[in-house]
Amino acid sequence: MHDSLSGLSGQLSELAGYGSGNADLDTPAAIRQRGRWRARRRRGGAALLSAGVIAAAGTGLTLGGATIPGSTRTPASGQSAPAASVRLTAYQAHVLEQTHVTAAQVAALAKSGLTAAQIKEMAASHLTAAQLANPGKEHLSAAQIVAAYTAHLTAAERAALARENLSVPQIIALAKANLTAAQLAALA
Amino acid sequence: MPKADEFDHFYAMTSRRLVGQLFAMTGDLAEAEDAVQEAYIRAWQRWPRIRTYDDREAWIRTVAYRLTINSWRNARNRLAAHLRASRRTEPPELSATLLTLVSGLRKIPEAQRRAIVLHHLVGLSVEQVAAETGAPAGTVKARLARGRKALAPLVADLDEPSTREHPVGPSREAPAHA
Repeated sequence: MHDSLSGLSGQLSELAGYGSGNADLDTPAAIRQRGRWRARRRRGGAALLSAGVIAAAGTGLTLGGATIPGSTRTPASGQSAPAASVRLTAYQAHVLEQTHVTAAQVAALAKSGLTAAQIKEMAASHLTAAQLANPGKEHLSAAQIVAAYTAHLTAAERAALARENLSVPQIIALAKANLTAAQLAALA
Repeated sequence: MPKADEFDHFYAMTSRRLVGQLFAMTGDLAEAEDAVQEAYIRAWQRWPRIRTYDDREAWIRTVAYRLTINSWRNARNRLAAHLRASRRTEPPELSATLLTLVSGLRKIPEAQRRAIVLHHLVGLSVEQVAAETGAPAGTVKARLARGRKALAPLVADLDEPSTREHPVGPSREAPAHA
């Protein structure tokens, strides 16, 4: 029995020996270089995001996947980190940053109770914050009126939108970011 | 020893051996090379932590193996491997015996193949294979038995033995798990 198993081990060793002997590998310096380059690329991406980051006064939240140190939801030291769902992903931070939507603006909207669904309604019909805040004074298309109606904005939400005065691209970016209820709650 | 020197030494001492082991697991040399190198890149990025492990080789092997079974990565690897293979000197052909073994290994399920390689090539005990693969020892024994049974017609002198507690392959230190 031992011989038969040795037969398998021997053949496997021969096979592995073939692989080892014919392996065409990079030098260790090249491997380290690739690792460094990848880390730099990641840091570069993070730096790009942080360039547009504006810390939200009061909440302490920043875009770019940072935690929310100023939030009341921040666990005490020693406890586990907050759930991933309250952190903005790199994509979310990126799309918001592209249109200069600040964390403070998102926080203000979230605080007013604006939901992701409402933001999507606004984005889908290209409604600006001003249009939604003051639908009577703004010229709205039929589609926008329907969207404004279906968004079911409260007075607080309208007031927040008026204050933040988000443009159509900014609202579309907010919709694209598709912030979860947990993220909005954490921001608020 | 400086960090980079330590990594270089570790790479020089283990990389070819690991390519051999991954080659036995995958049957594809280019893919094994790619996965192992990728695992070393990841190890370098975490080197302050990885260097403290008792068995860094097991960490690399596990990461490389997982990379080979990631289907999305496989497709990308094949392309990269193809491009690399077109630049490199063609390795000598496998002997008929080894081709038969590769063909047989490819026919058995991945989990069995991994268990067979870890036990009979790397030299891990059933318990060590269980720890590295995250499967219960009983499952590893079953995988080994089934794998050997499937390979028996292809491997000279291999009958269907009962699962052994101790490996036949080269002896090695017990791995610590990353």
